[in-house]
Amino acid sequence: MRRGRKNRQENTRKTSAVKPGMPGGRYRPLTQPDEQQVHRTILDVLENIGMGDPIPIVKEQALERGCFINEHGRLCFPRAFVEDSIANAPRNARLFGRDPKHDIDVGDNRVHNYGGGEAVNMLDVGASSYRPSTLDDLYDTARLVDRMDNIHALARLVVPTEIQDQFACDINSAYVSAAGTLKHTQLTFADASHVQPTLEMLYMIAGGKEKFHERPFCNSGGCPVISPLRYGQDNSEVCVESIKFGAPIWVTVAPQAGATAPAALAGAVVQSVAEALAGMLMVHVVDPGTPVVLGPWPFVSDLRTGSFTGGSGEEALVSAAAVQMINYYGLPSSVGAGMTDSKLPDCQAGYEKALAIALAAQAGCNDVSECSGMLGSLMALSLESMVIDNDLLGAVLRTVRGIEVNEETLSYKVMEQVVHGEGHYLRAQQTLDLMRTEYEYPALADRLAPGEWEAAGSPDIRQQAGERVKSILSSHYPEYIDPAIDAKIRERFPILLNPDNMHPGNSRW
Amino acid sequence: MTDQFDDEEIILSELPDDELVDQMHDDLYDGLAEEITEGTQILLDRGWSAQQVLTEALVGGMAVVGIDFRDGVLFVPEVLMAANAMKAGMAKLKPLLVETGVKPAGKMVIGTVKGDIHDIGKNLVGMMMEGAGFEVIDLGINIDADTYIEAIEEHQADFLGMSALLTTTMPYMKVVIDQMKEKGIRDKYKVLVGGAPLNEEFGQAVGADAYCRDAATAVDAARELLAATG
Repeated sequence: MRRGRKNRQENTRKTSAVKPGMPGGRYRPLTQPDEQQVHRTILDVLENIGMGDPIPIVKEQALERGCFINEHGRLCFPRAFVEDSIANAPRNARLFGRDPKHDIDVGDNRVHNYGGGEAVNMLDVGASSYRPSTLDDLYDTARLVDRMDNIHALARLVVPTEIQDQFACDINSAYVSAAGTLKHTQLTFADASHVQPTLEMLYMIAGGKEKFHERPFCNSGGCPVISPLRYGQDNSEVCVESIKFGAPIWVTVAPQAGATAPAALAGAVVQSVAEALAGMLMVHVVDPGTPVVLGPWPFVSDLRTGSFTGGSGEEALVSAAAVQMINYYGLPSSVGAGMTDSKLPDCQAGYEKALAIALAAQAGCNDVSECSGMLGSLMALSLESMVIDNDLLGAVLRTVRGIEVNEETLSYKVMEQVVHGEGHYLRAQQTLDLMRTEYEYPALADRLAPGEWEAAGSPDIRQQAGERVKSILSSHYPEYIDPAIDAKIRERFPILLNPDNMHPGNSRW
Repeated sequence: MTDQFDDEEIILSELPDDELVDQMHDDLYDGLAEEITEGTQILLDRGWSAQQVLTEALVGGMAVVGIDFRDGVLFVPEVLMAANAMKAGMAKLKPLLVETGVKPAGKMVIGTVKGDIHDIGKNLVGMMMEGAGFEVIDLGINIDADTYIEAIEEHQADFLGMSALLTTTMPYMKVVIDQMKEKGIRDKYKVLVGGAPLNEEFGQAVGADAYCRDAATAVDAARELLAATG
């Protein structure tokens, strides 16, 4: 084959300077003595204040292992027990994609980006007001995530609010996720009884129970803590039932500084990490072998109004500190970042998202969640924002990758050659070798010269993003569920996604 | 030079009525429950009616708190301290008001819906309502339709307040309202709903009288609904 043609063919493959799972951990808002003080206080909290309202199976198993009920009737975890549990907990785990190229290895400082957010509203392309989100929207987010290189896994980005029945809501969410993407999907259940039937549907999609459990492409978990320091029954039951997935359990807690967590930021970090550990302990007294992805998500209140602010500098800071503590324990971590308070994909959204996501990623978070498309303090999702965020995530990952320093990259010889030769680097072999792998290129960010930009009609990024969304969603209708299996699934389960909306040419896009 | 604003120097019982009322407005603003209790007692001892103390000293003071909260001068924790001080004064006035047949501004039964055990937002609304002079019966969390309905009937409430934080529990509000309709008592009460995932459209869809995006809005909505019904 002629070299030119070979190059042309290879160049059609997109190359990138970043990849999933690059190590973060350079940003550490807590000093080493701070870390130890936070840790000691966490142990004090779990040992003395303890957790309220454990579900019976957890209470029973915990008491058998040396935990105790204090004079206030709360379940307390002795510090030695907590330290042993942390030391023995699985430190690394794989979240499988349906295609192995999407596998994610959580643990250490490896950085990945997650969808997720459970918004109840959509901001339509070009719109300036919200509407309730639907199952079709969730399907769209799955298809879009499937095509976003820097969003490595999916969680429920929007809630299908038109479905009243909770079981139907949960199983349809799982169905449209599997129909829309081959990336790993984190599921949510309102009730433990929804887990088994959903698993049975996933077995059908995977081609059998054993096939699924070889590579479980979905996991589950929940938010089992009602802050401050009290277990919530329904989500505790879901977490325990989710052990059946044979996949890591996600445990997220979201105490809000100033309202359901201390206003002092250090206290908010202590409580959120203590609660996340309490979630892990709850799973591990039932089954110590199941990996848990710990999600201490310290939220922040705007104390002028009492409402949640996801876009603040404090939010970015405490989230990074929470990640630092989970990394101190060497456990898999998750944190919410990119939870802007802005209602639109605008300047405010851009700076708030960039700050929080950058700090979380730099802190070495395994699952940076809520980082794609969320707006309005997690109340809404915008598909335009999702594709913009994909660029943002690429740029953040590039900063995570850092600068490789070695004799070759220090480039002394190249400088010498260029200075004595052509006088510029544009045609240097090093430039050719590195132009696609040293630099990350955004799909949407405008880098035109001002004149070119004006000639193009002075587009702004939201317009460009809307075009990209339409182009992807009107054409990307993958057949990730075999049609024969799909028919069987629809016979057996109350699947509500209109099959007509799963092909090009429907009225939606 | 001594600080002329030093709290120690103010002896409430030595102030004439008008200065005492002004001072109580300041003390409400600063959330000083003990001082409000004391001031309330002094005014009563001077022969003020409970109704007059309530309107001029307490509600008048809370109005300033409300305005400064709306304008972003006061923060939520400060407003809650003020509401707490108001409540302390109310504790003195309530038996007298009942005796003289004066009704509270309005009565509200409040609770977080079935399946939901998040209560911070609901508590905030309860405190703000009390601060505005409403009587609040707080049922707590995880409340089913029967319990709500029993409580509004028993207490002859003006308002039913329902709160939900979870998207999975908010539809239960409709269940409660539908059950009120079935029993033919829906129109006897004003229903206020709130919680992070809710919005105006949801409020209308479930048939509530008002969606309240925050605690201050809840107080305003309750006042407006009362005024509208006379």
